[in-house]
Amino acid sequence: MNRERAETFLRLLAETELRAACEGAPALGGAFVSGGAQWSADSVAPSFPRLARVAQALAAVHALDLAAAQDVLADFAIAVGVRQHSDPGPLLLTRPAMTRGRLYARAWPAPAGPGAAGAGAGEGGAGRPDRFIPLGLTVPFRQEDVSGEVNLLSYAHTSSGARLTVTWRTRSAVGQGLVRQFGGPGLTRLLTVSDDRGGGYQLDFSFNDWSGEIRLRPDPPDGLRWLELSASGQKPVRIALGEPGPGGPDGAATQVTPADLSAGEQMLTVFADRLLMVAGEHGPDLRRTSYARAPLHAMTAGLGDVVAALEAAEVLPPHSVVPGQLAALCASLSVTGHGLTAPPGPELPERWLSLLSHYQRRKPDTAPAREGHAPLAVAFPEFDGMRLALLGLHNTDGQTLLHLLVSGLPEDEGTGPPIMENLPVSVWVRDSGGRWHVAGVDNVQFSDGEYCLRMKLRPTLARSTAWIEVLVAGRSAEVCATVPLGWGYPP
Amino acid sequence: MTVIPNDPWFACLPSREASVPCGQGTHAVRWEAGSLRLPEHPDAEAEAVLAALGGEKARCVEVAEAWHRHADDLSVLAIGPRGPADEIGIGWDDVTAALPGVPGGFVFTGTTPSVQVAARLAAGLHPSVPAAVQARRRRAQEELELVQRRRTDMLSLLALGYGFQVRLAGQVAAAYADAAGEDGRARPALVAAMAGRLGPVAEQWLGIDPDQVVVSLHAGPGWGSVELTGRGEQRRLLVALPVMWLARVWAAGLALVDRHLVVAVERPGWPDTRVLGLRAPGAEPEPLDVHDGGGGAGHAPHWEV
Repeated sequence: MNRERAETFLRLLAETELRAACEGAPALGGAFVSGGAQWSADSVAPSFPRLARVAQALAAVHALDLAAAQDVLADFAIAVGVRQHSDPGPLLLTRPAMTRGRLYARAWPAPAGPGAAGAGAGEGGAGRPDRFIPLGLTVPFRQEDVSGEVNLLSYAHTSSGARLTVTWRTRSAVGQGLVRQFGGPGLTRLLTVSDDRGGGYQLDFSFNDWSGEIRLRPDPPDGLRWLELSASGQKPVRIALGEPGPGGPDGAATQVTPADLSAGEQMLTVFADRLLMVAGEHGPDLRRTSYARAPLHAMTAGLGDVVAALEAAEVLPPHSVVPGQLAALCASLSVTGHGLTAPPGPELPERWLSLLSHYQRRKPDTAPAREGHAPLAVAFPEFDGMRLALLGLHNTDGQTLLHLLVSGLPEDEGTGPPIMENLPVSVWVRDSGGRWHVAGVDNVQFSDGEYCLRMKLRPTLARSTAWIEVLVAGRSAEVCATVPLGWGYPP
Repeated sequence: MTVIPNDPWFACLPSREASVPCGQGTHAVRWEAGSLRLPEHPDAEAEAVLAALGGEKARCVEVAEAWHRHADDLSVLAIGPRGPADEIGIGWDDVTAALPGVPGGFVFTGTTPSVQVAARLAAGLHPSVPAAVQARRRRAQEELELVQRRRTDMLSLLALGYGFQVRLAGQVAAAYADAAGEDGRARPALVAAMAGRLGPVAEQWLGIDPDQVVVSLHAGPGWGSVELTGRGEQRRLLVALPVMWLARVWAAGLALVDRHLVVAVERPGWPDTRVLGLRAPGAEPEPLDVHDGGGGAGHAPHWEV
């Protein structure tokens, strides 16, 4: 990595942009759009997408400190402001928003070396191994006029404590009102958890729509044989904790394949995933209407600058195939104006091709994914300094959602975006029919150093899927878990 | 009040004066031989001490302090003019409008809203607020004041006009001239500063697109090198010059004289000086005796052979 060249690239780009802005600008006081610098006389918020994206990308791969990148943008904002605005005062006091709407995921700390994957699951508190238990249990409940059930997908006990990953449903129109009570006293009174030693637990609920997690406080002690979860007036449901130990359910298998991606390649690959995710919202319309492609154009604008900046910073090898693959992906999605100069790569990854062929079908999916939930609990081997576990899968409201637990992520610098835009690994699912599905973060809960991610799969998973292969690709390794799915269905 | 020590880099620059609204009137601020002087404030340092004790600070004194604070600030190069044609139209009304407390004059938006909010709250902290929160808010307040002062400084310095803007840029470049080779942290800003100023000069000299000018910092003996390579889109003007070129040559308005790219000053002086100029890339520099005939654009010197 060459930090000096990275900063020089950004500053020289700022010079180019300043020249373009001054040449393309109308007389003082007006609004103009030129060379990527956008100003409005009515706005105090300047926007320099071209410069901001390169700054964002260089900061994402740690080739530039966030503060240094922001300083460059701030100076640029002042330089343009004092040349082009009739009332520069307010503009001079504006700090450009470099990280707003971040496109590029922050890189992992550099891996220890190719294939730097750990031996297995991490350790929980007091040296005890993390535990992940698939459940597949249903707890019916009734409260006044509302009835429904909570589906327990998994139990996880890690250093940050114990949690149940759940989905839930009500069978009453007024049940929507209960949504607002979740996390409040209503459901707290409704459900109770006890253990085989007579201990009781406080339950903390964290939900988004129809799924989420229930945290148990205090931390359950070691050696418990079971927990019982009861809804008032219903028969308790027993959660067998069995013998402690790492790993996943019967039939689950994990595999590690060493990789050696540069920080730039990893960032661009994750960006491609996001592109495919967004493309999936429009499917066949991509070829037919420019309106459908507009979000993709917005995402890919200035990509050529970003690639050049990554090469200058020496975080993207000059002969990397990834820029060419990205160019080919853009061509397949009929996206132009990205500025990539690499010729489209001859071979795209199989999973990209799988998704592209799905999007380009003449006849799109019209039937929503049928409701169902599949218990999952698989811990991946540690890699890139990160531990990751699958905690559940379900089809809800026409979406397929995958729950993951991630720990070991570096602390954010405080100015960074939420991990929603910032997960620096690729997550893919291959179904038993051989079709690939890309995963994008849909919701994040953070507590005690761990992120609970809810990821949306695109396209959705058919409930007939017998097993899935979950692939997480980092810089030093690709880890893959093959998991049989035992679907549960709503009554 | 003298805030800048003498340095030979300014030998080709004449003295310069600007008018600054100060108190009820307008005062002259003078740049002379590398120093900023305040003729109307013979004991500016005493005034500064009084202001620190609660008195009102004269704007002339504020300007001189801002000059001193930014004499080695690389942002001056990133913001300041790239040449006489690069007009920066900041006036003293703009400075006043941007002062904190002036309605509409202070807006802070962008990526650090927490700083803004914390700073707003900092003034009225309740004793029950935890010490760590109080410390964080104090830091936020300090940061906000720093940003505010930096912006006011920049506006004031720009309001002095082109002649002062290039002299301050020269001062900054001179401050880094000796350390540019060793201090890697400053190199990106210095390379960009050179490129931003050499680009328009090269365009005038050879008709080349400024984006095709590739600049590096020359260190060691000799004046550096200037070469033209490639054709068409691949055409590049490769320029390696020392950082001091910005101070001695560019700031003095000597960059392009009589269709020669001036690469060094051989015998400094004003209004007569001897420079080394290139008629074409790759050529040997030739000595040129030049004279400032006055009347240059933006009050810049107008050098003639």
